[in-house]
Amino acid sequence: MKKIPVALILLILLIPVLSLSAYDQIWGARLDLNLELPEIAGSSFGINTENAAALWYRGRWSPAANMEVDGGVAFDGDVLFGLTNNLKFSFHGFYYSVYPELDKLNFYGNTGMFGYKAGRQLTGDPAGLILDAPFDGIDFSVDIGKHIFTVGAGYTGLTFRESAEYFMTETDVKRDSILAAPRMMEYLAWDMPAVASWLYPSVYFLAVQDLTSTEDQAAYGNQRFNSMYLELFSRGFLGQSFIYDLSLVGQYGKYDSATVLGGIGRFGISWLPGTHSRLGIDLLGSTGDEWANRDNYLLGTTTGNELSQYLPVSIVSTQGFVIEFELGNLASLGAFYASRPSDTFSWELRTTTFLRTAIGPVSTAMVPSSSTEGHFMGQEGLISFFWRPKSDFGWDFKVGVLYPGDSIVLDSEIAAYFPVLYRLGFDWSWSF
Amino acid sequence: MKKIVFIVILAVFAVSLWGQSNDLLDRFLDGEEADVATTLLLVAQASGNLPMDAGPDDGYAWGLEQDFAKHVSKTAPGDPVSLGLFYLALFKSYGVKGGGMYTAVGSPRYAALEAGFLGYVEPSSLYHTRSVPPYEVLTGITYVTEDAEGGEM
Repeated sequence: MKKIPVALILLILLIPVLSLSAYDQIWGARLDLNLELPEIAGSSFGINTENAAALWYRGRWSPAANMEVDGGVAFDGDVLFGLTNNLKFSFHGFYYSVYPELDKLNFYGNTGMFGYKAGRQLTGDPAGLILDAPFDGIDFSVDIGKHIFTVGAGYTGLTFRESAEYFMTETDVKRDSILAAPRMMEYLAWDMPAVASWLYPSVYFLAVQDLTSTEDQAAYGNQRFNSMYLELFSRGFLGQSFIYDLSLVGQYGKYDSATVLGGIGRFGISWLPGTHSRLGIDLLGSTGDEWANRDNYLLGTTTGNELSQYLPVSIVSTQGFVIEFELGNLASLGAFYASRPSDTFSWELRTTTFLRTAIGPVSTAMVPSSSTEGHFMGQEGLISFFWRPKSDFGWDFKVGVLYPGDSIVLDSEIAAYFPVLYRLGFDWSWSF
Repeated sequence: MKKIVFIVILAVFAVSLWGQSNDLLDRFLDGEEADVATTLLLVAQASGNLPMDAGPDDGYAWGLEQDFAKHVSKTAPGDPVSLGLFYLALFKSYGVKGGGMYTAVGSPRYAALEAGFLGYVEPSSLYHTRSVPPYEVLTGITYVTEDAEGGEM
């Protein structure tokens, strides 16, 4: 029965679409290639690559009736090596995955102050601290000038797991399916774009219901995790030379008999001494759990009735380059200088201190459960170069070095070769 | 709305500098969609490829002599000009350097994508097949004439 209202909504949307004769369109393609090294996995190290090819298409019958499609295929791979007892390189294997991506397949439009989007679409919170992923649903907005209200709802279980990255429980990662974890999401957003030049606030509320089957719960020994998020976000100018952003997110959830109360905050401020440079700092802190309360960054086996680790709905706004930290149980203090000497070239120099807020799990396997030493996880230095010589071609090159804290534990076979961790990254993109 | 009116006034002023007849411009601006012949005429005159006393038929004939002629030949002089064909003619006549695929293929779609990249067209209205309002032709010509990134100035 629930399918009937959805079909009716789609039919109502299609009627004006089919009754209009004028039709405009545009399409394109993207190719994104990536190479990073060294990739460290246990006692192995090697090269990691993440690549994607996608096609996109947009069509319009009228401002009230448009459609868009964006999808393709991704290829991720790891070439791993190790050291033998004679200290000779040995090939440890080539591991790869190929998976589809479909970020957009929807109808959208607006008429007067009203806007809508129905179908597969990207969704996210204003601050980018809760989720940034595709889902299947509907989004309505009302723009009354100084206030924009948005309401939406959708389902995650038909998106592709590896590209959507809805990872909250261990079941989400382990279940044998090409599709993402089944969850319903409902959200409300209130944006006030014209309050003042120094104040562009947003309020965002999201509710998530976990629909993981009883069979999957039993198979992987996990429970359902239902959660809610409330986000307050503001950004704007301070004077003529400073810009800032401030975000606060509170999370409330239920996992089995445990109550999850977590949160994250972020503050960034930049000084713009000229039109081509920027100097700034950014601070981020989220709540975490100790090892006694949970055995994994994602929800799995837990102890006690109160959990505190912040957990976003999808992987979003990861921190760090040498090691990518997800947002839970993390504090980072960064400073950066960025410059754009020409319209086609820019660079950025950044240093970031990473800490865990609780002596417990973080998202990387380099902090194992045996690691109980200290909050400090490392100090990273990163220089990035971005070059876009043409409208359809660009590349970036990154070099990062991380001085690891005591909580970072490398496999004993390779630890001696990595007194500091480093990483080189190369991205190449072509659109046509 | 004020912004649009200002842009139109600015564009009309810019066009008036080329010396185009007021009658032709009045008729052009009165229409809801820019036609191929007058659009090509304005592009050719703005880029100095046709004299100021030329007419729309001359503009269409000029278009048939350019390296984008095959896209012009698919249209009639009175047809609405598409966004892609307009920017293809404009960029080619001003020698605007674009991306690799635009340079290699030079189709209306790539020209429209270039216009989007340069910020001349709002992403929400970036459809290379759509018709172009007359004021958008004038603002497009003004952008390329004034933009230092627009090639030969």
